[in-house]
Amino acid sequence: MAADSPFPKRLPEFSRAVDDSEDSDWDGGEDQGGDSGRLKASDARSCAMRLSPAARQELAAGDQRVLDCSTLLVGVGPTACGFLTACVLGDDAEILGLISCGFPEAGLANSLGQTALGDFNCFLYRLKCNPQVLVCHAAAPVPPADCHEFAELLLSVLDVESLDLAVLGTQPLTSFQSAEPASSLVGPLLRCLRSSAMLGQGKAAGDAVQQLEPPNLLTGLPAQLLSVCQMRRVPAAAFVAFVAEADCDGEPHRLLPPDPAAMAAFRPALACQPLRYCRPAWPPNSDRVMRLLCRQPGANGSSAYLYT
Amino acid sequence: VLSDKSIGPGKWSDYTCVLPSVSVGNVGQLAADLIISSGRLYSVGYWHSASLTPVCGPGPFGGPPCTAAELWESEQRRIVVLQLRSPVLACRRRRFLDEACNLIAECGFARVLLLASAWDSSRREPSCPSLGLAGSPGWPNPAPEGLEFESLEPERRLSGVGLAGPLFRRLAADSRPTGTALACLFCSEGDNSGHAGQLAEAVAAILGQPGLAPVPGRPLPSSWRLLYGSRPVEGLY
Repeated sequence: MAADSPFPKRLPEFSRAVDDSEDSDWDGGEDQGGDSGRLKASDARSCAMRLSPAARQELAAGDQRVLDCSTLLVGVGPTACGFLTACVLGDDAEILGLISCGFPEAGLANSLGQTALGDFNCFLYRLKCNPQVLVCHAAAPVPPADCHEFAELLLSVLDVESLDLAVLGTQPLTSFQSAEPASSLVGPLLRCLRSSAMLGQGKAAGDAVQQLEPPNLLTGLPAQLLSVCQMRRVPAAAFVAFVAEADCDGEPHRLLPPDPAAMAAFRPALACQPLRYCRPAWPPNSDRVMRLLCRQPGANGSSAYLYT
Repeated sequence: VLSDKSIGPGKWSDYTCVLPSVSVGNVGQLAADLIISSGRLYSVGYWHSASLTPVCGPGPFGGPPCTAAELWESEQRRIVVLQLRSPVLACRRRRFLDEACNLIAECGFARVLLLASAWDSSRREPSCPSLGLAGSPGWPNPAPEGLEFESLEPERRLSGVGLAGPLFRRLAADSRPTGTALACLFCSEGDNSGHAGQLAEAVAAILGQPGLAPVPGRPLPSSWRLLYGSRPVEGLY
């Protein structure tokens, strides 16, 4: 009878502020959409870290149980990770460990050499040419609910008080808010947001990357890392490239190949601290770039269109 | 976890905490920004919570970068604003309530004023005032003389208020803080800057702090710039 009603169906209200799936009758009991078991799962540890034997030995040897590191570079998404691989990470970088999200510790990769495509682990490398620099590749998407734990795990093995941090990431160009119409924006755009500690130490003087203008915001893992650094007074800089939608790591269920044009958007960041300290290479070694691209699915173009 | 270690237990034992909720049109959060600006509050730290969606951006008042949750204080006015700039993760709502209640208890606030907004359609009558107020047993009459409002029953479920309702009921049942009140503005979604001003004026009246009311002509927070989009393409029409 209801389906035959002559009255039009009332459209559900929605708000940009309130999730339209929120239950207004929720009284503070179980969380949305979950029974007690799922609630426990959501609150349970969802990220795990595995370190190499050498890294574990280094942790055990020190008084503070931290890895020897003065600079941490974090790449979020395949484009940023591709850039760090091409310009910073040498061919003989040492794998110190990995962080995995969404799997219990028992499900972590058995071998740190398991760097196959489609693997959702985030690897931690040490530069052999500059052992004080660690590079973390978070090519796989890290869900917002896991960002907090990911950052805590990553920083737990480092001496945060003597650390400089740079995080590179991408966001959709369509999310960039500007007085100009969105149709007139020409990407990619590179912006930088620095913690107060980095500005206070004068490390940002003369930097070539434009500051992130309000009301734009960082989201995801770059936001989490910079927030933690801001709170803990760590000199840190987040470089975010606003790129075309296809180059972003917005899809949680697939890894996208890096786009060389989008990777080039990060080039001005090489002149800024703390990347400048790492003596990056520009232009990047062409062989290394080719190896990086050829490892990605669909890189040869033949599988770009299944039906032609 | 609070970022500033000098914020110890009971530091704000005679303060009022103003806590907005992510609700219809972000009215509570916008009002909190106006209160911070008008009342000339200063940043005193951050609240590090795993229950909030991570965000980070330029400071809305030109200062240090902002994060998902910030603390702003006015020692003169004895108020602290706990500004939330991102929504609570859907899978951690109950955890957020626990964390918020623990934080309020740890800081020792004397009173908590929750700011929220609800859908206009949830008003009892169209003729009812657009401002709704609810008070706990420790703060039964939060409205000053002359303020028009609709009295809200604590157990009433309002659509669109986000977590303000459950948080109010949790705090009202707790022995600390002494008093809890919920100020809720009924509105629809659109350009809600006027609603934020209305709610901020109500807060100023409730707390007896006329200086918290928005001052005409004062520059708006930079985070409000382009809040409702950029100008349309000239060749569109």
